[in-house]
Amino acid sequence: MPFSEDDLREALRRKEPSAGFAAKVMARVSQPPGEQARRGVLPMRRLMVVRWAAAAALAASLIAAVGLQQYRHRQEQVRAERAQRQAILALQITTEKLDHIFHRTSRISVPAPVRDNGDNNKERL
Amino acid sequence: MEGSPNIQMVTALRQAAQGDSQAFESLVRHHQTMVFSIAFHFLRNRMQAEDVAQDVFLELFQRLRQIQSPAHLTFWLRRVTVNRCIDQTRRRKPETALEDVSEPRAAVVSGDPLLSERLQQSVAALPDRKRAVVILRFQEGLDLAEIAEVLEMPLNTVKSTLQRSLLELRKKLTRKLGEVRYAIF
Repeated sequence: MPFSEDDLREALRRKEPSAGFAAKVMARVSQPPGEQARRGVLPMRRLMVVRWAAAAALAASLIAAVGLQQYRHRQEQVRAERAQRQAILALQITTEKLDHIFHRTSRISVPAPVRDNGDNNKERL
Repeated sequence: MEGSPNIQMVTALRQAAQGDSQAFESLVRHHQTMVFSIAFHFLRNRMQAEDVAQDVFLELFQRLRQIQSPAHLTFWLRRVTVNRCIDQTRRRKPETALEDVSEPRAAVVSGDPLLSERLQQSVAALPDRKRAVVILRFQEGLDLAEIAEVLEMPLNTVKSTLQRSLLELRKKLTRKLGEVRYAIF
């Protein structure tokens, strides 16, 4: 669609600033020079600082959360390893006890069974 | 204040330079629309445009003694505003503010609002120098020699820059409206 120079003038016609614009300027002008600069150029920079601080805080909390998660995971691992070692020790102790019982029982001699060949019955008759 | 507007401005300028804050405020009120509009059309962001305009008036307050006449004041304000806008666009990425979606003070829109919106967007997308030339030409109604003076550019460069800018705007607008038609049909 072609446009004329009048269209461009219309599109770029002047616009009013917000209602309190002049008052804001006068408020800044009445401040000491250091304050003027701080309120003038720096609001955007302050905004940037706030954004960076928020991003840093978010990153720090993420790192802390991940660290805490890893710490808990590690603690669980340690507990599991300790339980595993205790279980192995318990099995070893049980095995030793069983060995000991086995040796003791094998040392006890069992008497040979009495054979009945019928002589005793003859004497009785 | 009484007398012709120019005499009023001379008086206000002199009084402001002597430290009269009311006189300075009248200068701000007289030029705020011009300064803000240049910044707004340059940056397409009300908040940034107001920041820039405030900074311009603050700088004016510090340099009031260097301003020789009302015409010099207008010239100085245009130059400083454009330079600050160029600095601003180089420092920051363009942001789309919520306020830009609808323009509360632009209730009276004559002509084609869609075309106006597209034109504003296309102007805002031009490179810095081209944008400045177009805004000074069509918002401020300056002639080429005045634009050359404000932007400290050779007259022929201003001429060619303006021609190229208009050509670029026509191309962009044709492409954008073509996309709209394609989306509709």
